[in-house]
Amino acid sequence: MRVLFVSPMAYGSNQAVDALGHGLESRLAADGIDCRVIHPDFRHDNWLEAYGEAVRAGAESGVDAIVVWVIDAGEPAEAVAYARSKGIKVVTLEKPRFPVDASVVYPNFNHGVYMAESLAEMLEPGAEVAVVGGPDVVDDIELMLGITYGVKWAGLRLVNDPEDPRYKNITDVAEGGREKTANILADFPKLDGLIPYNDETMLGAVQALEEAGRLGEVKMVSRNGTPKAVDLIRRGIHHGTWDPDIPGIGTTVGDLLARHFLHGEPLDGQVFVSPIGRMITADSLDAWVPWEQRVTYNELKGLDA
Amino acid sequence: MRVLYVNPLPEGGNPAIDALAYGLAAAVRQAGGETRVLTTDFRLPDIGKQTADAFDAAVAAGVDAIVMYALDPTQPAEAAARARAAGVRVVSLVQPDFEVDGAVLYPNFNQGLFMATWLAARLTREDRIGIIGGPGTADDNEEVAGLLYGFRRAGIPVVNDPGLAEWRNMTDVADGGHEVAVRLLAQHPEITALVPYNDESMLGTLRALDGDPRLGRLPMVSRNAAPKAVQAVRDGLTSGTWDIEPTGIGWAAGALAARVLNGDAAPGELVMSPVGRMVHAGNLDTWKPWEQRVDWRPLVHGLD
Repeated sequence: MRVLFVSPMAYGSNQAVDALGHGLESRLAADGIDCRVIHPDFRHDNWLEAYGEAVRAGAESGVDAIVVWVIDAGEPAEAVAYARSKGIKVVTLEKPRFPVDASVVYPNFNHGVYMAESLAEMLEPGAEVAVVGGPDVVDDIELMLGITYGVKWAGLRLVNDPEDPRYKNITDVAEGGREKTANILADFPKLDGLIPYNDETMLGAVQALEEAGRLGEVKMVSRNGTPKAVDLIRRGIHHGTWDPDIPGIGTTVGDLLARHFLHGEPLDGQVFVSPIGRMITADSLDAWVPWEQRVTYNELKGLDA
Repeated sequence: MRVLYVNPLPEGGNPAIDALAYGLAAAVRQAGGETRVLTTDFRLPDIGKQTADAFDAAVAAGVDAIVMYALDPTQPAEAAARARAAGVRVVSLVQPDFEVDGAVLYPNFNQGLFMATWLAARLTREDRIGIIGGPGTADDNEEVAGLLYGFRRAGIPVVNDPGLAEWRNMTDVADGGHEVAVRLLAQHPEITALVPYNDESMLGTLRALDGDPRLGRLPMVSRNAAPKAVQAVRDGLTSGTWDIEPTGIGWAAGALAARVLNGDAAPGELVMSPVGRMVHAGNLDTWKPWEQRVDWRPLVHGLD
């Protein structure tokens, strides 16, 4: 039995994406199901075409199921329909606007709300907070809505519009976070708090704060619970990272497929929610377990390997 | 393993709240424990004292864990601290502002988004949506945020701001929904589809449409999948109701309480409740009544 994972980023370019793949692979491996991976990187111009090709390649090779990480809620509709017409089960990460056999969705909005609430606990009521936004992909849009809602709900004052391209890291990598944070620091001479939407952006934000001589001025929280973010919390530079238990998201998908294939549990287009995770701060660092210790990091093999 | 559930409404007051309690008791039973129920009423002004008294009674009776519904995230902070100091573990439905041993959270935003997406797939961009908001609790606000985002993403305009008091059902019961629906339909005759944020508000909306030629023709979805809402779908009066799986929410809370007591949960562990699904005319046959989803046995009220 074989499952293909269509991953949105090349292996090694984003630790979180890699961790999810390992969570999926290790859970499937536990039940003797072979997992293969194709990486049509969403940062490339022709990524939509590559996504469709990856799904079709899986269908042609006769895999039993394909797991697709949805970037655009409308794509790759045709390729998925083709795969399903051949009897292949398609499960998505995030819920697309086309029919699939099941979806695992993230509580992104909740993450954003709790990140803002955690930051509020570190600041005075009414403190001035800036947010570095993310690219227009499904999960980051929802995360941003949760952050902006949570900032207001928690009684903080949002000083910038995170949807303004000047403050929006559409590259999803640290350099973009550095550039957009530098813009924020230039526009707002005094801040109490900063929310870079994810850890990669936060790494760039730390650089920008250092370059501006303002490191230590703001309390910061971000999302993903990556090892680098945890290390910065340990060193007192960063203040909180929401750990969404990314290997656990992959495990959730793997568990769903294993229950279906081995125990006959129906999928029926159902929606499942991934683990909520928790905030890692200086107070909870000791309980943090590195991702590679939560699941087995086997080699992720390509479809033809 | 003895668990006290502090029910926020008398049994029979709200079928979803009842189903949650039955799911909780079933999960605790499966883990080898026993659930007792003390009833409070969140509609009364002294709800904070009622809940605190229930906590103190539980401590005196020597229960192992208390499960509460944090409708007001600030209450009962002191009683919870007293209970935890006495060695009783506290698990909450919705995360409160004070420390607890675990909490079950709802994917409200996701549910609002999926409700909007489902309805939008049956409409066109020429349609106009009216939304009746909730009383301003965190879970209702989050659901409405998901609805607004979903319709914006679908490119279908919402004609009113459900965050404004005039478009919110502050009472959380059908009468309040009726009052807002009458006003909404009168002031916005361009509305071609409606989303009352919950089933009770939907029932009030149906009353507002009584005698109106739009009754049964206006696409409408709400949330909870209460038996009366499922019947409204069956009768062709509404398009769908989002089944939040209240027995699954209760099950998640009961299972978390058992894990906390067994030492298997992380400190302050957060757990998501099921996301659920839309119940509509096309899948009514597969809809299972709540009492058939878990081992449904009478609740045991009182601590003796």
